[in-house]
Amino acid sequence: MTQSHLILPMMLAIPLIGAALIFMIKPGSTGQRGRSLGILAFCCALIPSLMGIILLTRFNYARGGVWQQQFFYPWLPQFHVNFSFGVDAISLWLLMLTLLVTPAAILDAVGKIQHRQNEFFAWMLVSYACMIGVFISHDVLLFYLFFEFSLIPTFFILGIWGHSERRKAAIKFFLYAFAGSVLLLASLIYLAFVHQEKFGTFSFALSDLIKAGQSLSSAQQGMVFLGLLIGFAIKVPLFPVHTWMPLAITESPTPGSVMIALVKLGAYGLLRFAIPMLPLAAMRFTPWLAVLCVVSILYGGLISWVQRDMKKLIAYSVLSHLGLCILALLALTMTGLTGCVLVMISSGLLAAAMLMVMGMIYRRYRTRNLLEISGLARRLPVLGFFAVFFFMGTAALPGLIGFVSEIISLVGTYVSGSAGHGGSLGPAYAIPAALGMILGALYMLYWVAHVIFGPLVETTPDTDTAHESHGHTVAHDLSLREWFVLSPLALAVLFIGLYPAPVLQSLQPAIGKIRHEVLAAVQSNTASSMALKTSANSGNHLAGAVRNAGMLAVAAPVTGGSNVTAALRLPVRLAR
Amino acid sequence: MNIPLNHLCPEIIMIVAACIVALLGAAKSDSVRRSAQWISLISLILAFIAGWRIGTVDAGPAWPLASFCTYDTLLASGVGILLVLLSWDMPFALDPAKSDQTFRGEYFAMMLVSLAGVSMMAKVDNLIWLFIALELVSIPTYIMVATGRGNPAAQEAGIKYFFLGSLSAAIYLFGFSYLYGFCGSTDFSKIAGAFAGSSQVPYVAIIGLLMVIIGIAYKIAAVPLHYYAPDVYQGTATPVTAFLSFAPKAAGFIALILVFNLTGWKLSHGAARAVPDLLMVMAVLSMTIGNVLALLQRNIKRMLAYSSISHSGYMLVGLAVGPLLLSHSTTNGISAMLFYLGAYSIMTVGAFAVLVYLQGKLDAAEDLDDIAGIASEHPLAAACMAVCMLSLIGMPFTVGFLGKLFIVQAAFSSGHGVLAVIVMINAAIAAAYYLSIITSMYLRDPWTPFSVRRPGTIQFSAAIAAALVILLGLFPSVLMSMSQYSGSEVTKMVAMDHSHGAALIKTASTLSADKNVEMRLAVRAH
Repeated sequence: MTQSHLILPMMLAIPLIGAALIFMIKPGSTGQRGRSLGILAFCCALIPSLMGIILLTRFNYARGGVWQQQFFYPWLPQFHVNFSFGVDAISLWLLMLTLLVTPAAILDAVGKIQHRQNEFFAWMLVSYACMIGVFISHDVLLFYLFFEFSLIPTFFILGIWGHSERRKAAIKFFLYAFAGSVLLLASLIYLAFVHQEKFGTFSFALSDLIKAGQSLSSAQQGMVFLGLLIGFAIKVPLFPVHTWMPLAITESPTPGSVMIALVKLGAYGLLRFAIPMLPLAAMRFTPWLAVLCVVSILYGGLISWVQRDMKKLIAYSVLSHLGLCILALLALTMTGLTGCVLVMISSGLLAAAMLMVMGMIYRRYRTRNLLEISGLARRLPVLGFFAVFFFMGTAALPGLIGFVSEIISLVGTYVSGSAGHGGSLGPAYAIPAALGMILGALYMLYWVAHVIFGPLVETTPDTDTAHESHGHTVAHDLSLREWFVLSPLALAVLFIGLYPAPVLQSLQPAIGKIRHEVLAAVQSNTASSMALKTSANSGNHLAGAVRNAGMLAVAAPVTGGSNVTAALRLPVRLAR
Repeated sequence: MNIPLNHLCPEIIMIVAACIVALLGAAKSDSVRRSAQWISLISLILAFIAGWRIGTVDAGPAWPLASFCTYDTLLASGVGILLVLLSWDMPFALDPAKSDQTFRGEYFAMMLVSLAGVSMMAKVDNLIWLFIALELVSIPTYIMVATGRGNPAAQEAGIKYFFLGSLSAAIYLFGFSYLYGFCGSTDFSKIAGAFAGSSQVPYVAIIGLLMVIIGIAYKIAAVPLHYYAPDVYQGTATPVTAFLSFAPKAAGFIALILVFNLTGWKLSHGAARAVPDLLMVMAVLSMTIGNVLALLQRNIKRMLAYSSISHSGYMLVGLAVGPLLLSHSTTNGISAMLFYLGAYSIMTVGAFAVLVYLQGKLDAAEDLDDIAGIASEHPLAAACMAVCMLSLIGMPFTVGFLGKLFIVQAAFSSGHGVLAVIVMINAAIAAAYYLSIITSMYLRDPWTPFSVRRPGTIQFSAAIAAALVILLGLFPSVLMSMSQYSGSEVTKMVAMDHSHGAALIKTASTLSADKNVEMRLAVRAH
């Protein structure tokens, strides 16, 4: 570590300081005070975003696999836990996503919160800081701290400012996530302890834990992986443990649901921690998990098809996309992993944008029910345009980010398992996943056709967002502020959709590194177990070689195709 | 006791102050009687300072448990300050109708005597002294429970607490007699010598140890002697409940450490294995029963009683794995347990302080409905409660998180992964009921109109506790190094007894030298 860069800790500190300040200001009875509190919060959120631009210019994209802009400060020296920050290409882009969307979400809420505004904006900023902290943490315990702490602001935002079932939703959200994360913590502490046993120091540094995890036997890895998996799968969420999410997204106020849908902590954790630390277990669990992913995709798609509640529809579509994200991750091909990261970005971006559009519609008509409004394009052409734009993005219209990410993920899953690509999935998983995506397009089209382009039906507009015209109350189209909220997101959706190359290329080194760690570990394990087996049982060596060849085909591409043949020859030579 | 008199300075201050308070409390003039709280507060602050000063003087190998004793004293007097602050108007609560006439200082005298017992606990070196210290802690609490509130529930609680307490005292006294029978002396060094001398721990000693553990389980409210806790905690006045959640528990755990210290921590093989096994079973049962039953409660004091049972379970995990492990210096179950004890005391006393502050149907808020929606009218009190609850859950950046982290780490390090996982699962169960308190305060509308108690000191003590919870969660080094030195001292002294002599004495003295530097730095920083 040559020098300590302050940019990342400052990004973390500014929202926190802002939150403390805002918390101390009394909200007052007038709306004016609440509005100025919101603008103050927006400014506090914008400063890290501007610093993010500096970060983008400083980042060395050629070495995207290396943690850059590092900052290091010892916290609990006895336990080797440090404030250790840094970004590599993966966390850089996810950080950028957070930095882009959160200020927009805060701006969207300015003046729309009716009571306890100071607390609301303070919690939003705390939540923002947690998200930043999660992506810049290089120390696994620190990651966990932010990961876990982010429950508190979301709990309060959901529970105090949510809709009618807010209390139930908040408690369910908290308990689900907390129950998962305690097992996650236990697994992490165990890994740190393994590092102490085998390498001498108790450490939570990412590279140390990867080393420790990979040194475990396959059975031990399985136990630890299960702990990590429960924590991350609840957070993703995947099919059987997803029930908190639709409820939380639906009941939350718009900015809160944006924060929930935006952050792909579970997927990030699996990609960054669970899979590289415990590759053997990951390989063993892959088929099961992949089935859960496919179920999530189809189930999410089918449920959102019949949803009448617009926010629930988005929640289930998020479930479906995250299924694809994890599926592409499990494919373990270069294409698949790239697709996984890209789906995290696109799903976060699009879900956040759609939720905000829904929020804007709700603000005007006080309903989320599909059947009560339709044909909004006639009344609100600009809002209708944005709605169509983001929904088409989600339905994977070519030229928008959704298409790029989904097609890359599906291709990555499809080629997985075939020669030269590594991984163990294949068409059997990719085809149902693709079907799920078609379902997604179906329900999005249905929604657009009905709500935006159907015959004009509307409820009585809310007076705050409407004006009198020819004796009718007519809802306003987008205000200037709402323009500012939606247009950056739309630009990002369009830009990455048209020209994804810079993002894709900068991701390659980082993804290659993770993939290399996983496949090298699997390969060395396969080779050693094969050597044992063949030497003990030379009469049966041919069968052993054939059985293991399958495993090797998984592992081989890491060092190039030519090694496949070399590796295949190895056991035969040993047997002689 | 074989230590210099000046090291007993904090206890002497407390006892003297207790006598003065008891005398003044009987005075005719009302204003004289009202000086009781101030004298108690000042004496505890003086005791804290004295304890701190003694801790920074290097006693050398002559006093091998220096850090441990210092930690105990600081804990007793430090938490004692919070307890005095939160029971500031306690004597008025005895009979609100004629509060001016009934103000008596005896409550604070009892409190000081009991705290002196806690503080003395770590310094004893004889079974008789150990018994005296335990009773010094307990007997005043019997009186406090019975007289704390003028209603039948308090009388019932007092009777229950007294009879069961006497029973438990009989049990551990019986255990002491077995230990005496084993080696023919009540002196700690002789008993330790006898344990060190025997290659196989004889059954008589094992039975003695088991009975001591069971008897002391009452003090720490661990399963199987936990039945009294919910009724007593609920029945008595809330400031007394706060006291009960700290003093007997701290005393009990320190007594247990001392007793294990006698055995040389080598109970991992043969029939002696029964002792750590019993501790583990008690730990698992306390955690699980405490947390599951707490889920069913709507009365907060009852809920916190079960929570206190479950936290005893977490600490017992540290104690159970402690003896089985001496190889890693940083991961010592005893250190983890002592850290947790400090953390738990602060957060639970903070929670009770908020309850005392809020006026409920009875003298203090008790029911979940009593605190519904207080966040809008009393934001500071609600925030203090929320911080303490989040810390009891074990959320990051609170001291409770670090406590759990160290306990789990110690369990893994000694090869008890299953215990570690049980701790974590219990933490998840516990989150549900602590969260219901937060939910009630923040997410509900006010149920009953509530008023608060006037003395600002109550809220002040809640605020101090909440601030400590966060500060120690972010900068734990003071509490961490104190608990670590104490833990390693306790486990090392034994090794010194059995003849690896010089090297270990050297380690111990470097340790205490380090500690001096660090403590002085800390003092200077303040």
